[in-house]
Amino acid sequence: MLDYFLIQSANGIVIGVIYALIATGLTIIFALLKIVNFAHGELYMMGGYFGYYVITLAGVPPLPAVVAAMAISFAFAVAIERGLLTPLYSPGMERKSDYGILITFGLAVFLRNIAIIIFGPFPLRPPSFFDGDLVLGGLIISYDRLVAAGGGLLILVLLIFFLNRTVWGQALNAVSQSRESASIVGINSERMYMFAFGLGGALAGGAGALVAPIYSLSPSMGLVPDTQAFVIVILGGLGSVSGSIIAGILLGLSENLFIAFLPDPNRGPSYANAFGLFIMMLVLLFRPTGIFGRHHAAME
Amino acid sequence: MAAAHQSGAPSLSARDLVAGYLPGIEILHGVSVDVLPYEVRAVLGPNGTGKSTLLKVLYGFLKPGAGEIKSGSRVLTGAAPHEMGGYGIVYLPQRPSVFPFLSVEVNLRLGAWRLRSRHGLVREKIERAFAQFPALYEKRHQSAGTLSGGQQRQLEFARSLLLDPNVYLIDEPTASIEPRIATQIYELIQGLAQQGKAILLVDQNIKGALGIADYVYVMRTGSLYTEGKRAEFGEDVELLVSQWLYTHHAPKPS
Ligand SMILES: Nc1ncnc2c1ncn2[C@@H]1O[C@H](COP(=O)(O)OP(=O)(O)OP(=O)(O)O)[C@@H](O)[C@H]1O
Ligand SMILES: [Mg+2]
Repeated sequence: MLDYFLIQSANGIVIGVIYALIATGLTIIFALLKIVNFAHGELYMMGGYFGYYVITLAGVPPLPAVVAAMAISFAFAVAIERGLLTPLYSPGMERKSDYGILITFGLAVFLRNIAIIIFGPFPLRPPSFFDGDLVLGGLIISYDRLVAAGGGLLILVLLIFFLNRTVWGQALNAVSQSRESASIVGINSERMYMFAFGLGGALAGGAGALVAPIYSLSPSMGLVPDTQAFVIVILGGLGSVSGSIIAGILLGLSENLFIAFLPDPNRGPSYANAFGLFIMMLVLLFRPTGIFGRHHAAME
Repeated sequence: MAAAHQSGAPSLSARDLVAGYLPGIEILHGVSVDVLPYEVRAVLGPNGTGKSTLLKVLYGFLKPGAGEIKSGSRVLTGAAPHEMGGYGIVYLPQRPSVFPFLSVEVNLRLGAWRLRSRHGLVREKIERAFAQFPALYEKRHQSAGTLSGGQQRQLEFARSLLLDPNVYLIDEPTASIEPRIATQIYELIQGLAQQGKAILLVDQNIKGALGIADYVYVMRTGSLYTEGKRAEFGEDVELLVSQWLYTHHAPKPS
């Protein structure tokens, strides 16, 4: 029983780190562009496929392929931003959030269907990072999961360093606080929007490439993490990167423990999603500004 | 007031600016101003006349429907705000433009965004700014949003000085700031003019602005009502200006 608890906790942390990666990207995009990216799960899905094809077509080893998938996802997201989102920045644009919802929702549907055509409807599984399992007493966990969690944490640490310590990260933060003040110091906000969307895409894409050997790839794989990411962003206190990371890991963990201890284990997984939403309702009931309650939509 | 240094050529000049926010609603009906080195030029006028709008147009936040903005022979009409620093123009808006959730030090660092690849130079400039504003140095790790209004203004000035600009567009720098600090801010602005900066100062604090102005523009509902050298208006200028501003039937001075 204790072993089972350990294993489920470890799995929960792994998925939590992946959630955190997806959610921080969503948060950064929200903090800068002030839109909710409904195609975020699809960027995650695309990242998974980018990694898969970098491995199978270009013969790149699985670990560097994650980095390549992030770079391609970055470029892919920038192309989307340039092609579809620039109308958001024109001063005359009215009802920006409506535009944001419609365009990103449409994009999500488009990407899912185009993925079925290009990649096929059947699950694809790239080779493992490392074969085998780590056995530590009662704890058994596959190396692939360890790599996914470790790689994800590394990316998050680098991200936090970038946002807080480098002038580019600080400039992103500045634009999220005030576009006007940012242009007063000479920051070109529009370039920062482009960069933020690219960064969000790279984080989601990296998450997709990291989980690919564990869960396999399918065109609809973005649906569930997408809902979870929205829950996490809200729990983390809209716009807080560190809040999203903590909320992501907590949600992954509690979700897995919930599945583990549901009396009917076969039904557990299908309730997992509902569980996240249930937690969100509960938290918002008592703390309407999220766990890390904040009153502004700027980034931290 | 440093009339002796006047070089004569405006650092920034605007001709017949027409602008508004919404289609069909014109706020500025053809305003011309010049900003000269070594001078503080004050723009005075009642609420809602378009003083802030004028500065927004000059800084590129609002595109003029007609008119021209020039710096020397360079035409700036239509340039984007983030490019203005490159032309040596700085803008301090009515509401302080510091980044409230970033530390004082990071705010300064972002002020040197244009120099971001030159780390040594940026560090040196920030040190110099801290030497000039010791109060900011003491609070360098604090979020700028926790500073008092006066200190936020100081931070804006310190930030702007990093790039050694030649033109300052300043909008009500002492609104809701305690009188003692307000005096300091006016001294700071006057000091900048003495160093050769060209300053356009929009203000509701008529006394404060006239105390340091070399030249005065009076605006009324989107147009210039009158203008002239501060000295030409004589001793009772403060009273006179308030009459222009607040009495509708005041005779126009000749
Ligand atoms: N963003 C905006 N959108 C639409 N109208 C605006 C906007 N900003 C200002 N206005 C209008 O433009 C006119 C001039 O405003 P402006 O802020 O330039 O006046 P002001 O002279 O600076 O006044 P104050 O002394 O109160 O600051 C006002 O009628 C105002 O309602
Ligand atoms: Mg104003």
